[in-house]
Amino acid sequence: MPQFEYSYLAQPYTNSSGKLIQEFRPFVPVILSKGKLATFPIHALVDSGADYCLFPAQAAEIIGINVKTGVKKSIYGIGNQEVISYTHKVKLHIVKYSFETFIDFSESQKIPLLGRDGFFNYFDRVNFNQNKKSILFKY
Amino acid sequence: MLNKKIKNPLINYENKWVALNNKQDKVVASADDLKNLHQKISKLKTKNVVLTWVPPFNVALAPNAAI
Repeated sequence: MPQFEYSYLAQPYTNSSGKLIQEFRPFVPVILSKGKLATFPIHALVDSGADYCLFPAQAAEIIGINVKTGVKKSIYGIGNQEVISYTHKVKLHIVKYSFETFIDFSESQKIPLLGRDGFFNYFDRVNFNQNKKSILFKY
Repeated sequence: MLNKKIKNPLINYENKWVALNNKQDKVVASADDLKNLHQKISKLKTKNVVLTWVPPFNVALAPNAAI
C-alpha cells in the first residue's frame, strides 16, 4: 500500500501568557489543477472536522475557474459563522497521488481545508501523530 | 511585548500569503493575497516553492469557520 508522511508545519502563535511560541499544525502541500492550468503547491490544513474541502476563491481563479458558476452552498463552522461557497470539480495532487474531486471555493476563506468528503475518502488511512507532529497517508 | 526570538521564517509575515523555499526555511516572496503571490512567483526563476497563508498569531485555529 503506497504511503507518504509529512511533518506538521510550525507557525508562530502567541499563547495565553503572551509568549510567542511555535504551534505545529497538520498542513500539507497540494496542487489544484484544471485542464492545463495548475496552482503552485499550497499548504492546506488536514481537517477531520470539516465535512468537505474548502479553499480560497482565488485558488480557483488561478486555474481559470469562474467561481460563481459552481453550485452554491452554505457552510457553517465554529461560532455558527456562515460561509457561502461554490463547488467545482478539480484535480488534486499530493506527492505522486492525484484524483479528481469536488472542492468548495469561498471569497471569505483564507485557510485551505482538506475535509472528509473530497479528501479523506481517497485514502485508506490518514494517521495523525500529535507527539511526533507528523501525518501519515496510506492509499 | 512579543518575544520574537523564536526561529521561524513566518515571523514577519502575519496575515500575509508567503512562498517558502523547498526546505521551508526561507520566505522567497510575499503578498497580501494568493493571486498576487502566484503572479510574483511566476516571474521568479525558482518555481520550487510552497505557498502558505500565515494566520494571525493571537488566535488558535478552529478552522471549519471562515478564517
